Amino acid sequence: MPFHLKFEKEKMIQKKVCMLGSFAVGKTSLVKRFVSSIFSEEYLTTVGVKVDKRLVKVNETEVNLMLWDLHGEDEFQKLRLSYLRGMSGYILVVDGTRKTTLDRAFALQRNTEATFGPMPFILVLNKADLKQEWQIGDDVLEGLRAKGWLIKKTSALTGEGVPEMFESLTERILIEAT
Amino acid sequence: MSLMPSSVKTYLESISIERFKPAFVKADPTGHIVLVGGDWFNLGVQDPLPETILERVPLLVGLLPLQGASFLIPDVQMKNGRIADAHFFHEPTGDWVVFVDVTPHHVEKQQLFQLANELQLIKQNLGNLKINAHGRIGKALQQELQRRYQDGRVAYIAALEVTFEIDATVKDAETIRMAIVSIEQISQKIELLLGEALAWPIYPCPSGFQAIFGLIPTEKKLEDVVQTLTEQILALMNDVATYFDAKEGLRPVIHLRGGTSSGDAVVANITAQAQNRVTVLSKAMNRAHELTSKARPGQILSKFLVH
Repeated sequence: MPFHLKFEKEKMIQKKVCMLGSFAVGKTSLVKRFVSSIFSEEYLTTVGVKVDKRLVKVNETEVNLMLWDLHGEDEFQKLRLSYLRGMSGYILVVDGTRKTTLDRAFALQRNTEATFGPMPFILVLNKADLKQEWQIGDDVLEGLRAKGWLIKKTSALTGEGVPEMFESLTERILIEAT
Repeated sequence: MSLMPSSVKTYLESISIERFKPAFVKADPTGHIVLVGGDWFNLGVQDPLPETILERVPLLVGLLPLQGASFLIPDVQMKNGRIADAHFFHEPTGDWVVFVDVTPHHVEKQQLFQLANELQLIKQNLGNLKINAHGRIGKALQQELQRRYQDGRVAYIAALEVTFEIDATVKDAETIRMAIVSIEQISQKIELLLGEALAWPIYPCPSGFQAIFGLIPTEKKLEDVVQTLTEQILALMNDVATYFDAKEGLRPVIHLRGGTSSGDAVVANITAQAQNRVTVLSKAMNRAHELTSKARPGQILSKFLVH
């Protein structure tokens, strides 16, 4: 490898970001949409973790995001905190059509912050393509925004808001790092 | 272990290596990788070297340098689709060893959680249905429910699981031996479960369908027993089908089949949590289960022993 390329590679910023949320909210679909631009209707439960990476450019800064797509938390599977070690930020994914997933996201956020301290995160309301079936009202979201939460609406099906969501979090992570 | 002859140690080591296909990375306390080894190829990592391993195993990014006590990151899906457990061991020297081995029973675990989560989704969607009961059920919701009910497997498993919850009054083994669990009782149990729309505790069954059993009075003629039991199972199949028919648009595609057998059984309540739950241990039970699994949809296979 030419020296200058090697040098550039060494300079590359790499950040670990974890996808958190209840089961079947679309964590895997969001990562697939972002990394491979594909979407599958079939629901396949994630067991454990799959790590993917994608380069994100924010204000001329390139960041290699290591995306940890973790299994959904529910009464059968509790999230193992060792998965979260070394992360720079996290994405709380909620299924807009299932209000219970928002409650689960709140619990995950509390536990994560209690264990790892405050760090950049974003609340993502996925399944924007099913907006007419949403159980989460804008008043709830406004309340969270007033508390300083970064909130985005996405659809892994159509791709709406997906790149923007990852870029927004990356931007926050970079601000935090400086 | 230290007293074990070296030939045995070598044998055990070779078995472990064959089974778990281990690979490892050793890092010094500053996070600098000093050694890479093992079967990385099996995990889809080509030409692993200390200078390339971080790029090829993204799992390690952000984690090095390591601190604290040893820990485990289970069920990591590698690039080539293999699932591995990553153990992070703290060496007495201050170095760290990341040891990656193939996860046992991952497929079974995946199937189990898939079933459990599908069941949870049905439960939540049925909750939505109740919320909308006084209004018009959204078309999209209805379609969603129909889709989720398409194979009906999960609800059916849960329904059959509940058929094992026989009345607490039949706890005594001698009484049970003479008791008849009638088709009405079983049907009621199923209806109760399905009527309550999966508000019941969940019993996911990774192996698929559960056998239904009937307890037959021994004084009857064997031919009568076969006839009665077959009729009971057919009636049960009919009841389940009728139940779903009554639920407009929610009928799943279910493949009902049966297996019957005879013999002694040990029947007891051996669970502490669910007082009304009865466990049946018997060769006849296993035989019936085996026959059920061999039957085609709509078929009942029977094998009765002559006493």
